[in-house]
Amino acid sequence: MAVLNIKNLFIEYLTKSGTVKAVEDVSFDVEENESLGIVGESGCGKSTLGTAILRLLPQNATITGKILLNGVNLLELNNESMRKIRGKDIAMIFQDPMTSLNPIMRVRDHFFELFKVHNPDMKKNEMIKIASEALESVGVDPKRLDNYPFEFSGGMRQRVMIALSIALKPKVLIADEPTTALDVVVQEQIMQVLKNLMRTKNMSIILITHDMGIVAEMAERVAVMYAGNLVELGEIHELYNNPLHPYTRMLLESIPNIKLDDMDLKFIPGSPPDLKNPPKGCKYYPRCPFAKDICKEKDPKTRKIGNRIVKCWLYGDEDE
Amino acid sequence: MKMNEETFLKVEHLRKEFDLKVPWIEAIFKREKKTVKAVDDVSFEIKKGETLGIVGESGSGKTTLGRTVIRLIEPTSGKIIMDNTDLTKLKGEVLRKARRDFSIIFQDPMASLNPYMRIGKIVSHPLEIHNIGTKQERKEKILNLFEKFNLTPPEEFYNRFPKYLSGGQRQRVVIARALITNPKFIVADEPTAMLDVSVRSQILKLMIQVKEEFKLTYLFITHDLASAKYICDRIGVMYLGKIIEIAKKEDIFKEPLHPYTKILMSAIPIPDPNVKREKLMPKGEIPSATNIPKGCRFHTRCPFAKDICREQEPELRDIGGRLVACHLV
Repeated sequence: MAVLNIKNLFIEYLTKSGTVKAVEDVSFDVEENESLGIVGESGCGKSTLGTAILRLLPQNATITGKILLNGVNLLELNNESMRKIRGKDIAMIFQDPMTSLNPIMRVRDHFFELFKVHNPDMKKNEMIKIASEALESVGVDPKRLDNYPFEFSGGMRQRVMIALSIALKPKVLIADEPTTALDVVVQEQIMQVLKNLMRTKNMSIILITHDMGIVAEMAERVAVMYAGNLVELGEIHELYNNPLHPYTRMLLESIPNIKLDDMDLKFIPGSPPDLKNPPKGCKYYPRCPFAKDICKEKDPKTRKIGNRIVKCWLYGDEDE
Repeated sequence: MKMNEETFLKVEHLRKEFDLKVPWIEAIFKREKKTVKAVDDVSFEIKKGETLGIVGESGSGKTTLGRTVIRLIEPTSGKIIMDNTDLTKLKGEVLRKARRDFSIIFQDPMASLNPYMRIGKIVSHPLEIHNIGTKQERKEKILNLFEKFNLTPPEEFYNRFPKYLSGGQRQRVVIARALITNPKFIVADEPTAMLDVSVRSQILKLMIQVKEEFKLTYLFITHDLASAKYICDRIGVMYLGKIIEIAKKEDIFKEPLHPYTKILMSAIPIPDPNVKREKLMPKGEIPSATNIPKGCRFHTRCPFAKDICREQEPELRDIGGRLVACHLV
């Protein structure tokens, strides 16, 4: 069963120099206990999408469409009800563990603040107990509850962030580039922590990243985004073995793989379009080696091919 | 000492220690200086036209090493012999003149270009400093380079400010600036770390292409082993200020010998869901460089550590043409 349904989501930012169409007509479901990866280049709208689910976007953003959590549309809730959902039903891990903890608060107080929002009457003993359990589950010694963030290394801080986000056992965890600021070895340790949580805590994870390697190891399904559009979505093995959208294909070919002997590096020529003034038709056609006439004129429809969702004119004609 | 004919750069027993600030009261009573040993007795050679990669975690000293080699940071001791001259002996005007021959590409293209200078000015700056060519010649040279680097139309880029350029374009400008004086040697300090996946390969390709054209020798610093595989001929692995393994790229990827190299290799995510990799995890985290463990500096995290590792520091030994510092190999 799906915990989270995103339906026809549009997000625009109003800026002085024009409207930025950051997310355009994106729909997908997140199943229970599933890990879904969202990948794409910087500026493709993947972080905007993740942040929008928690309604944490800046003032100049307008959202239309539906975000359904167990059937309830989050976009229709008032601020107070939304506050109750953040941290308890849906939680988020941010990219930079150095800046997402308050430097003048002890780790303990970060937990207490979170608990008080959801249950003002909670006893101190109980709060310490839950916080200790959360820290233990990510491999941090509960004794360190009294430490300040500066006393932790980058990897340990990210563990603390993860402990904070899972303390209230959310149903959905959004991880926005959780390991990008970290080293390979620490990244591996954090990925192990997330995998363990997935197995034991009964929650769904939305993993937002630009690293196709991390997605290959963590996710069960992948959504590929380009210039605000969801261009392909499918089961991880199917998508990696047989990418349908030309962008997915190029993205997969352009990553250096240490296991392959092939020494030819490929890259995607050109750069993503300006989202204030995107090209007419398919947004990828200026960089696409397979572009046809219709690609320049008309935005492709989103199609279902088997278990796969693809938005490309190479699959099916206009009238279908 | 004898220099091999084709050896271009030879670094011998290079050390860099940074003094730590201590509270004055401790300074009076303890009378001992605390230092961070960022580079701790490192020796290596690079042949002409070769690319040596230096890989390691943050805090392993790889950036300090790169900067010390071209004397952006003063070494504490050691020798840096480039083309038969010892760079550590050079001073003042002589050193400044020698800087024509070596250059650096920094990690963050957002921070390494002056936001108040136009691109043309940024790239012509090294030429002005070294008094190369007339104004017209300089401009021509730069426009040619821009053309080659796909910064087109070159005339337009010449007059732009850095903020109007994308990350990949900025990094190309940084590379153009590094190449403009026709240097022989370039230190590339994580040139692709701040860039997007698709742009990363573009920059790597460009670096490989200009290396042939300008007959360059690279010291390529990175934490991304996958990039190192594409550009390097040999790879040195650093841990807490020391090189613990150095070997040909093929050897290191096929069969890493040092346990730390093995761990680094197994930590790289592989973009193929069909491959299940064996995991090898280190214990805990990298120790502080102010307090380097006795014996082998990796023994605190090594899954295979024995008694001897805690007592005696292993030397770099030659094992079948490659150098490894480990008691167990």
